[in-house]
Amino acid sequence: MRVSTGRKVFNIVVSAILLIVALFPIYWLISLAFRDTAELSGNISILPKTFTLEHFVKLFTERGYVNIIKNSLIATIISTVFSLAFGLAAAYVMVRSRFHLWVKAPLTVWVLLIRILPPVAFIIPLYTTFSNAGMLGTRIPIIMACILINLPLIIWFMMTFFRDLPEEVEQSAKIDGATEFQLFWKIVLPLVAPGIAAISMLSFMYAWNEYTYSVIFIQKSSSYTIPISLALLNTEDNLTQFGLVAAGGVISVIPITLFVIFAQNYLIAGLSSGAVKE
Amino acid sequence: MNASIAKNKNQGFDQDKAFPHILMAPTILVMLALTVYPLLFTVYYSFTDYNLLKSRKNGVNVIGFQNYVKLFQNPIFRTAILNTVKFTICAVLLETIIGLLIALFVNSLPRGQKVMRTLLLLPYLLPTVTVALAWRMLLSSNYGPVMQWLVNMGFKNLSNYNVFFHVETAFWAVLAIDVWQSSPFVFLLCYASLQGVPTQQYEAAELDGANIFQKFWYVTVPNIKSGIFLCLLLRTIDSFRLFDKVNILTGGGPANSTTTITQYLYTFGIKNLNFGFGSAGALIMTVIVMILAIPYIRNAISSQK
Repeated sequence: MRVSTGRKVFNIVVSAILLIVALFPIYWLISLAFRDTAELSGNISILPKTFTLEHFVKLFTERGYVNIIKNSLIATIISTVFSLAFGLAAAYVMVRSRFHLWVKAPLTVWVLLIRILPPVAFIIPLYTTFSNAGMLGTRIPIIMACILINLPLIIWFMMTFFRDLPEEVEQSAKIDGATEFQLFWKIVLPLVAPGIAAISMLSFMYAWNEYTYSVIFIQKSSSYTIPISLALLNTEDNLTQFGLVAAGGVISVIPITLFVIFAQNYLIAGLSSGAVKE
Repeated sequence: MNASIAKNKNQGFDQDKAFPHILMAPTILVMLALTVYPLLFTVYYSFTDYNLLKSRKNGVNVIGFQNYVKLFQNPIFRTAILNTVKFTICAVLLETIIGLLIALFVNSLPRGQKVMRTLLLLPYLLPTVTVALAWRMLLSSNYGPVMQWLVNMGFKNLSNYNVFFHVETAFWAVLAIDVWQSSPFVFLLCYASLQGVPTQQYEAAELDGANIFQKFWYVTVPNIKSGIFLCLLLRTIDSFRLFDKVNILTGGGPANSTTTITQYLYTFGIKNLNFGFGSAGALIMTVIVMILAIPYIRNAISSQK
């Protein structure tokens, strides 16, 4: 197909506008993070004039970012691992008709409802329970909140993957004498590995970004996660804090940057699966 | 391996019978503890005067529908509902239209589609907190490039203007930021559906002499309808619970012009430990969300059958 010159110009102009609008805010965040404080307190130009790591150093030495990153990583990884283990197992049983359990039908509806209902529907009783159990100072509430967010997502997402897998494979393996456990672990799970990769990244991302539950459950500065500490930096006198806030922002996007660079196809397949499957 | 299989078969405990129960048990326990139990207590608290501090002394008393009456008489709560509805309608419409237009454009590009898709998706992948902060710095009255640009364009009265401090602009600024962040999601879903449209259908329409608009209306639209429908519903559910951007950028102000339902409940039901009152509001919101989501639930459940 030949493309006319007018169309070519149109394509280039529109693409450029879209890219500037989408990427300039991200560029701005990154570029502020590496400019020195003197530059940030004057008239800030579009292109940086200085380069420094002072804001990152300050976050690590004065703002406890070693601990904050550790908190975020621990909550994210533990909740993702548990949600995956529970969710994969449940989704598999829920789509296979040879398993007769009455809870399957109500659980399918419930999982979907949980995905839809707002966090405020659960947050107060969870708060009082964690408070009464003396757990508000620990990591448990955040890990639980992330499991609550991700488990329904994983179940719903993996149900479609397991369903697309022909049951005959499992039947022939059973005839060969494999137990259900061996079948699930050695045959079924490897076949849905691409789906597991996609949903793991999404779960990681949602847990890493979690704010609503965290802002209510986290009360001690020793258990701050990255989103909470960023929001707090933001409330401080911000004229001089631009560098710190921007540097924290850059740290907050590291995992997703790695996913985009190394596993883009899985990530995008996961995000767009809704449109293709449903 | 064969030996171990034979051994398994001989055990008195039937692994295969226990298998589905063992796999389901953790999820059921988690769901009971983290969703069923709290939801039931939210309902119960909503009919009580439960306040975390005061109830230590006075206990928890059932007070019937008083919390609900108080909520509906409360002008700020009514404002919060209105703001939430206004925000949801504006955000969903804008994001769907912009996302769809971008998807049509990218899908029409002769090359570079994949790069465009990845780059345009980036805003959606950032943590919301980070998005809010980046935009705060962009819109800052102190040297924020957007405000500087507007001043240079001739809007002199905008120097030292903080968009988040003024009733006329705060709501729209939060909306614009949400549109910036979430339109890429709609774009991705629409683009994925567009990729699935069979090219033969376009060719057949061309043979029949269809022009570009007819091709769009009779070939593209029917093929991507379900994708758009899904976007509308997912964005509605998400926009309705708007909280993080508001809480970080405005805290609901100025003059409650950006207070959403969740922000209201956070300020007046959770932060001040007025849990009975907060639970009643949470339940009202839950009911509204469920009504909004009925078409989605119906659709999704039939797709899992």
